[in-house]
Amino acid sequence: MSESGFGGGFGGDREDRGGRFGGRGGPGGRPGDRDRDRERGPMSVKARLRAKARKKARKAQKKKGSAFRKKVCRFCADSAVGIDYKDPKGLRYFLTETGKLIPQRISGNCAKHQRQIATAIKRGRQLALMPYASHHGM
Amino acid sequence: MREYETTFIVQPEISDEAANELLTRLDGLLERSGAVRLLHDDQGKRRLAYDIQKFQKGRYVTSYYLSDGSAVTVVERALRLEESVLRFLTVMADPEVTDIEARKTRAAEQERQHAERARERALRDAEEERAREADLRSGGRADDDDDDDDRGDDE
Repeated sequence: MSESGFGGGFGGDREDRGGRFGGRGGPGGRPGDRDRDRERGPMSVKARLRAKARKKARKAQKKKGSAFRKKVCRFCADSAVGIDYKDPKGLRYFLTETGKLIPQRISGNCAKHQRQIATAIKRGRQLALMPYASHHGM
Repeated sequence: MREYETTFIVQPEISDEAANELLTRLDGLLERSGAVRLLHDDQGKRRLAYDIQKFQKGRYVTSYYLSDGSAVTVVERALRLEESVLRFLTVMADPEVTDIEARKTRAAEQERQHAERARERALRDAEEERAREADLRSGGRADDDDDDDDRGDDE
């Protein structure tokens, strides 16, 4: 008795969803996401997660105001700042304490300059100006 | 003509004369392979981010030159065979230099500035060295005093 009741509940739920949103989209997705899916074709899981994160950030921004400020690429903002593999001081900012590259998501660089930074750091590593990995802190 | 920059690390224990001799040898190689030597920028001794052949410091020199590319192999072969050179890296700095004379005059200016900076750095290094020595002498004595105090407390 109880089992059949359970099953019926699930079935009804599914039917309900199918009727409203056309029956596509993964679990946990929001109605709005699914509508967009249909226009642009299937979204990968990663893309959906990113979209979700963006939405969340936008929401948080509305709530907190300046807490989630849009990052501006510092090299675009000030063209006088060059990127040079021979300048470890300037590049160190874009490495973690353990010597890994900081993603542009966090550093705020634009794609072009992040690429230049990455190459510069890799060149610096070959010349022992930058660490490959830090064993005893920098 | 393209502009290349070759940065290399010379062993820290090599004397200034030997390092300069290496640079003049590079000049000769550049001339013979039809390149235009712009300048050598000696950045002095720097700490290496990691040990190379058990050395913790290295003398960084960057050579700038114009060439169609044939000089790069010549320079790199010379650096590879030179045992006092720990590492080298050649990068194309400018894919097309049209006004060679203008670049040359700018290079001369840069070289002058670099030489000035090197002189200042040498002075500063000497001063730091003196300060460190003085520190070591006075600091050593202060440490001794502390030790004595500690021992006094223990007893």
